[in-house]
Amino acid sequence: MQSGKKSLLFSFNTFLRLDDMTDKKVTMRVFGMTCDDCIRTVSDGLKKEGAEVLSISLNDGMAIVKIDDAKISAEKLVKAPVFGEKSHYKAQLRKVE
Amino acid sequence: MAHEYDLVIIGRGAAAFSAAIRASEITSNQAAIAMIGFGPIGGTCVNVGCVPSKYIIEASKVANIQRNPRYPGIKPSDPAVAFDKLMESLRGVVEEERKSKYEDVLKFYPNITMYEGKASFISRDTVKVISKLGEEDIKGYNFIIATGSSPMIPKIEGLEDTGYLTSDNVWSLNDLPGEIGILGGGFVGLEIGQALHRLGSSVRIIKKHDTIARGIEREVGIELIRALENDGISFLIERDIEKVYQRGNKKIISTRYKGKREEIEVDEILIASGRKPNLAGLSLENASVQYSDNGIKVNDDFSTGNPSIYAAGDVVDQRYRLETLAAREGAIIASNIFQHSSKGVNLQEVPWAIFTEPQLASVGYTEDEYNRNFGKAVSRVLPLNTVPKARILREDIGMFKIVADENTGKIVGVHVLAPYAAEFIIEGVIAIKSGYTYHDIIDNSHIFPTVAEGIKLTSQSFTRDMTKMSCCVE
Repeated sequence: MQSGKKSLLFSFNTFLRLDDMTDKKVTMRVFGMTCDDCIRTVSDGLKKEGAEVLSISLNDGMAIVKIDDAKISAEKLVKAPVFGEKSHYKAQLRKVE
Repeated sequence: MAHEYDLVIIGRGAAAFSAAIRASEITSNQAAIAMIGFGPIGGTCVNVGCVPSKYIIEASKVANIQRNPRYPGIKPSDPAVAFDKLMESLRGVVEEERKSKYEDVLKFYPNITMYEGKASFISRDTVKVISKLGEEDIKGYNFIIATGSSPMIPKIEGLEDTGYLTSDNVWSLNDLPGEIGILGGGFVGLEIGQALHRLGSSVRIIKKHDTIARGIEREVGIELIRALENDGISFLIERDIEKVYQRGNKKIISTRYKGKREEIEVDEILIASGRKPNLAGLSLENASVQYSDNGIKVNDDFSTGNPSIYAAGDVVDQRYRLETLAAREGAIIASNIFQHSSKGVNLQEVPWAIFTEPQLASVGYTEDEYNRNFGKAVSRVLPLNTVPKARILREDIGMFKIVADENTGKIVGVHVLAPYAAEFIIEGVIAIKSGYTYHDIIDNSHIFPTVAEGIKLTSQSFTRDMTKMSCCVE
């Protein structure tokens, strides 16, 4: 997806737009999720870093979020405390658009 | 379309299994892992390395004690060695260990898929696997190359035609060779050589230099040669091997010694000239991974020129080729990948051992290395026979050497030739890793009488005259 191009994506709770030039859509593989509580914990952890959660799937462990690249990079997001050494969850980047 | 995996591991030995298990633990068994390899599962250590060699070494000790009981009043006798039975049991133990520690372990990790075949990079993130079933492409988000190493075979005229043994195939022997010539003085040659000698072979080790190998504390290496010679093994040094050939049932090793030709007649030749990394067929250039004949070049965190490809174990261009080091590196890489760590291994804190009798165990710098790098080493050497337990064991040949920084007194190297040295070198590892001085070693009580007490006695010798000390002086 081109940054700056207005698009609608299916979101975690609502519909979101990638409006800004610094907005990025980040796809990451999240390991360790087994239930809805896990999704909530990971989602909260991502939101704390300023990401907007577009979708998280238990089926394939994929999370798609929107970030403002000027505030937090995708590389830093996968090292957020929710994915830290003591956390049950780990994340790896798969795609940044 | 290529199969996709979170982690693709090329190899299936100690480094590969350690990486796969650690990655599985970190990701709650959710990382999809492909492990690609060929040959017996488990790699060198369990199949043709530590496990069979330690088995035959321990068996040969039993034969040796029967032939040479250490204590007066115990009558010596020649052991009746049924070599074929011993080797059959050795192969059984290898099979058992391989099954219990590798094959059976896999069932706990449904996220690991085994591929039987040879992997070759076709791009920066994809390998082609060629197997009996055909070819398939496997894409990985992360890779670990852990293909191990193989015996280095020197280029000697006639060697291929004459035939030879290596540490890969010596385990299939059923008949004990009457006379065996070992080319090179590598660790494997010394261990297998002493074992076969004690079981009844006549063993000659033919080599160029009078030391064991580079990187070993020289005086400790020379003492080991003295111990092995005392055991009955011949060291033929300063020999340049010109060619080998078959004459009747015998194999002839033709050497040049002090300008003259010298022929050595043996029943079998064992090659013990070190190991080389298994790089053939990987097509690393397609993945931007740099390498040389010494192995894959890695950064401190074991990543390669391609940041999503790591390398672990014997295939890495590094000082040591050890099973424990390979396993440690595999686990560290899994953490570096999935926990975004950037850990490495300080090789100065990694111990190694030669399981001869006496054992040589070592960790850290040799005195020469430390002087070359830092220019301020101080050392003490304690002969083994000054340690009471060694005298009780009636073991005479051996020594302890501790190298310390001259200014700080911090231990930087511990080198031991003694019974059980491999069991207690860990004290040296902890000392070096923790930055202990020889005073710190002395401050810890050591059990009397033990051979390990030699570490404390050697530490005391930095500040005291040990000939004036009674037993257990603190």
